[in-house]
Amino acid sequence: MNEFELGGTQQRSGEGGDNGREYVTFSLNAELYAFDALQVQEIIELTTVTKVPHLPGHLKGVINLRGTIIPVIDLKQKFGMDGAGQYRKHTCIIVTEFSAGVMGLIVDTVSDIMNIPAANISPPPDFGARINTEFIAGMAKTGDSLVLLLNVDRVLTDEESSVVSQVVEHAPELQTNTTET
Amino acid sequence: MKLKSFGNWKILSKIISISVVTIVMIFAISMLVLLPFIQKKLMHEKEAALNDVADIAVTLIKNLDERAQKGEFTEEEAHVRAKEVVRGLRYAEGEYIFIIDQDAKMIMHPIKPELEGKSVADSKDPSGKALFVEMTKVAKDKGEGTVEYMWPKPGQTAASPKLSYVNLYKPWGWVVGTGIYIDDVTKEMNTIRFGIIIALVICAVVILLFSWIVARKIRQPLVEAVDASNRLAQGDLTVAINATTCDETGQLLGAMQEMIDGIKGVVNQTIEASHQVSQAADQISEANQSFSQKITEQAASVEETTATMEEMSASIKSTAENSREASNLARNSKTLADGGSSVMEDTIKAMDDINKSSRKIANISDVIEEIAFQTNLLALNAAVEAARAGEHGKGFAVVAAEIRSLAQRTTQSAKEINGLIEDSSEKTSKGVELAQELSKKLTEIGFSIKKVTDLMDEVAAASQEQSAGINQVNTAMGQVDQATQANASLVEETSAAAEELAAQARSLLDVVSFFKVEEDHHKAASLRRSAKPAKLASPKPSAPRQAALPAKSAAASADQDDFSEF
Repeated sequence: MNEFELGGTQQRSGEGGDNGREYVTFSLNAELYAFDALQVQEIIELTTVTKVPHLPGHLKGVINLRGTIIPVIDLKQKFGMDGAGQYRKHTCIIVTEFSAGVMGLIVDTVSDIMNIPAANISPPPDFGARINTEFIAGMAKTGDSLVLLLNVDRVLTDEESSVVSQVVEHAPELQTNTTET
Repeated sequence: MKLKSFGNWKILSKIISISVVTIVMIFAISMLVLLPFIQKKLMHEKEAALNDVADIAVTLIKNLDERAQKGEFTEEEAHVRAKEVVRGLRYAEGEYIFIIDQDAKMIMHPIKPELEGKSVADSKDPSGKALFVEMTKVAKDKGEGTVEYMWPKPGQTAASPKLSYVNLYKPWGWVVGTGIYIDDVTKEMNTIRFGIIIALVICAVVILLFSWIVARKIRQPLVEAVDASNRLAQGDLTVAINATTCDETGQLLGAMQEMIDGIKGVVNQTIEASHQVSQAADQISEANQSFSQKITEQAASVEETTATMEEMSASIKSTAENSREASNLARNSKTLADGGSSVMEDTIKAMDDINKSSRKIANISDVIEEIAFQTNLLALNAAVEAARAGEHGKGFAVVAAEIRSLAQRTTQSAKEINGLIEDSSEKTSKGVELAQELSKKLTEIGFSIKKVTDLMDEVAAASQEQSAGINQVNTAMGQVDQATQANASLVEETSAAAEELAAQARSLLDVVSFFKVEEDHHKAASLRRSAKPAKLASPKPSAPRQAALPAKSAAASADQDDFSEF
């Protein structure tokens, strides 16, 4: 329910700011993340996910979004966070557009649409060469809290991209084998 | 002196009388039967001898007569020859034969020939007997026979008794006679008589002596027995009889001794038994006294019991009333509890209704929340679209933001409503739980009250039964009381009977003390004294008495006295 509080405390500062970009903020286990609004195609409720065999754990399956087959991944699982696979009433799917196509990301809640000026965005921290931080586009300061800005193209690796392309190719052949989530 | 009848004679006299009678009988028989018989026998012998002699003479005469008949000589010659032959005949000590005719005329007489040819019919013996006439008479009547008379012996003038035998020879009409003196027979008879008398006297003396000894032998034990019996009759049981012989008298004495011993034993046992009876009577008296006391106590306790029973009856009655009242109260309580229970059920129903309504409200609120969420999503999407539209979408973005804020407020309100409803639902369900619990409790109370009512009813019934039981007990106690009184009177009767028994025992002892069992007079006296202790002024327990009654202690005797007085 933090999204409402967060939502309630949001600052509509981007309205008249220079070079400010719109970001869609969402929460994973109370951590606040954000995507570039331009990369977000749509936000939908969590619907029935059709499971596809032989997929990695975080690839949950596919959904039918108004006739379009979209692969869905669990972002918490992908990030190796606790509480993966636990879906609540207001769990949402953020449908993103990236270089390889369209993909649904399961997140806890979608908080807000924010305008974050470039001045408030810092580069990602350097934890050394061994830690891969390239999927973090930057860190935005909103008030006292920090929002991690994620790069969608980097979040989804080549493997997922290929899966996405395969799924999209073979989608019509797949039988709808739905299970309750 | 009056002569006693034979039955009353003494045994000595009786036995001697037997001897006397025997002797007299023998004497009488000897004198009256035996001696005459002997005399007769002797006379008969004489007669036979005379007969033979006469027969010889007759035979001789007959022979001569036959010769005269044959003609050897004449009849006169025969007569003469016969006379001479007979004249010369002698026998014994010069005894002779004479012949007379039937008219008592002497035909031939060897001693006094001067008489021949003369009639001797007038000749008589000194006693005046016409002996020759008698002879002819006998000869004529019987042919032959004997005639007794007196005739002097040859050479003597004094007449001696003589027996003559006459035989008639009819052809000649001669009577042949011969006689012998029979004074020697008398002499012999006297000798025999004297001898018999001597023998009889000696026999009589011996018999009398023997019979006297025998009678004495018989009499002595009998006298002893009589003596003993007399002592017995006087109650003296100390008699000792010595049976020395094995005959009937000895057996009699032995039997008497046994009888005395038996009586002694019986008397001893009787004395002992009397003492025991006396003691027993005393014990009965004692027991009766304590029994009487017990009965009095019993009567008292019966009265107490009766009183207690009455109290108990009253308390039971009040218990029954109280229990009935309690039962009524419990019934009222039950009704109230039932009422509470139904109210509780209504409450629960109402609570349920509230819950249902709350759930409906919650559903509606959920729907509202859902709608708000959808609206929020739509607003977000609209904002995303507006962002993608860039500068053109700015106004739209503002509207979307407004819509989102509204949706968020709606969501918040819905959430608040939900929270409130949840809270209320929680409380309601708690209330329902409590109400159910209360209802349960009320039901339990109802059950308990029912139980109480039942118990109270049972108590009332039990009280009634108890009351009936107490009535029965009261009746029984009345009977016990009656029985106790009857017992008391019975005990009195028993006491009287025991006293009577003791008195009887004492009198029995008195009676029995008539018998002298022990030699020691002191003991007998003590026995008599112990037999009637009540009559004694001071009951001194004497040593002999203790000896007689070893089991009895001095204290016991004192008790006995007390009881006698009691």
